[in-house]
Amino acid sequence: MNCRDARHYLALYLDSELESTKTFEVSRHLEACAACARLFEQEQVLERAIVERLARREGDEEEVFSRVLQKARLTRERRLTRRSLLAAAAVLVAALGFLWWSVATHAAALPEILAMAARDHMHFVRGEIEPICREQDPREVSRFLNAELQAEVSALPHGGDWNLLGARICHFEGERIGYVMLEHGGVPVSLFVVPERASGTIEIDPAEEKHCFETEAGRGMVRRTEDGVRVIVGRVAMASLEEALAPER
Amino acid sequence: MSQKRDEFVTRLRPVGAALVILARRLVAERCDAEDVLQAALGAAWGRYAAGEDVDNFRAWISQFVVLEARNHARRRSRRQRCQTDLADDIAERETPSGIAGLLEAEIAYESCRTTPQALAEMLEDELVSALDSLSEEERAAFLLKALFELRCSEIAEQAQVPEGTIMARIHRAREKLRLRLMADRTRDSRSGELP
Repeated sequence: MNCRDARHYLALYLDSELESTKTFEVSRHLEACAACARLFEQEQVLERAIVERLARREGDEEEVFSRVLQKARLTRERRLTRRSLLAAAAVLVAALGFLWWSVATHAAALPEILAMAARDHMHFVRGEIEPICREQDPREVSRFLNAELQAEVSALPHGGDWNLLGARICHFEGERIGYVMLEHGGVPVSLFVVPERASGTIEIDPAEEKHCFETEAGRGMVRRTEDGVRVIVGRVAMASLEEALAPER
Repeated sequence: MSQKRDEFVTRLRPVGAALVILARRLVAERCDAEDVLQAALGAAWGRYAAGEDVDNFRAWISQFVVLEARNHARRRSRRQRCQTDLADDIAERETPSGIAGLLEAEIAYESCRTTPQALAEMLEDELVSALDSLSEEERAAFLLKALFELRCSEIAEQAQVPEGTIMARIHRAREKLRLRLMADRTRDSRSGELP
C-alpha cells in the first residue's frame, strides 16, 4: 500500500470501520512511513479533541434525565408499587406540599395536570426554565401557540398588572400543551393552555365550572374555556387568577 | 405493565446522560432539548410497551431522539425561515472567497492539523455553532458515532438506510466541521484574536 491509498482509508481506519485485511495493510504502511504515521496521529488527536468537547458534560445531565423521566411519567408508577397507596400519598404530600386544597371532582387527569402545573411553575420561579418565544405582544404569543399546538389560542392575559414574558411548549398525557409565562404585579404566574384534543380526561365539576386549588407553588385555578382547558398558578390573589381566566377575556 | 416500565427505565438509565447531551447537540435552542427528550422517551416507551423487540437498546433509543429532534426542527423551520436566511446572508458575507479564501483555509488547515491541541483550546463555543453548518442527517450520524460510539452498520440499521449512506454522511460532517472551524480560526487570525 502506498501513501495515497493509506490516506484514502484514513477516516475509516480511525473509525475502526475498515475491513481486517485493509486495516492490516494500513497498519503495515504506517509502521514503514513516518510522514503518514504523523498525519494519522494528528488526525486522531484532532478527532478526539472534537469528540471530547461534544461529549463534555455540564454536570446537570443526570438531574435533567430524572426530571424528563418524571415528566414522561415513566417513574411515577414505580414509586406506587414500592409503597402502599397511602404511604405514596403521604410521601408526595410531605415532599412536594402537594395539593392541600383540592377535590372538587373525581376526574382522572385533574390531579396530574395540577401536579404538572405546580412543578413547572416552581421551575419557572427558580429560573430553571425560560420561554422559547420571548414575545411580549399577546398576538405574537398567540401566533406561536397556534403554530406549535395546531389550535386556535387567543385571549391571553395582558395589560394592567399583567406582564407577558413569553411562552414555551410542554407535554401532558403525550400531547403538546402551551405554557405562557407571566407576571402579575411583578409576581411570576404560569398559565397552561391545554388544547381541546388533550383536555378530554380533565373533568371539571359542571356546577362549579372551575376548580380552585392550592399548592406550594401558590394558588391555582382550572377552568374549561372555548379552546380547551386552562390552568393558572401563582402567588397572587384568587380574584386575579379568575380575571385571567375570565371567559370574556 | 409496571414491570415492563421498570425494565424500560432500567435499560434507559445507563444512557440517560448521553441522551441529554445528544438532545442538546441536536436542538438549537437549549431549553427545547428537554422537551425533545421527553417526547422521544414517550414515543420509545409506547413502542417498547407494545412489545417491540429491542436487541440493541443503545442504538434503538438514540434514534427516537434523532427523529423527535427532526420533527421539532421541521415544526420550527417555517417560523424561523426568515431569520435563518438573514443569518446565512451574514455568514456568506463573512466567509472569504476566491483564491485568497482557499489559500487562507489551506494555511489554517495545516496549522490546525499540526497543532491540534491549539485548535482544541478554542473549540468550546465554535464547535457547537459549527454543528449548525451540518445537515440534519449529517449531524445526527456524526453525533451518534461520536457520543454513542455506534458503528456505521448500527446507525444504518436504525435509520433504515444503507451503511454507505451513513459513512458518507459522517465523512461530509467531518469535512464540514473542520472547514467551519478553520474558517473561524482564519477569521480570528485576521482580527488578531489568536495568540
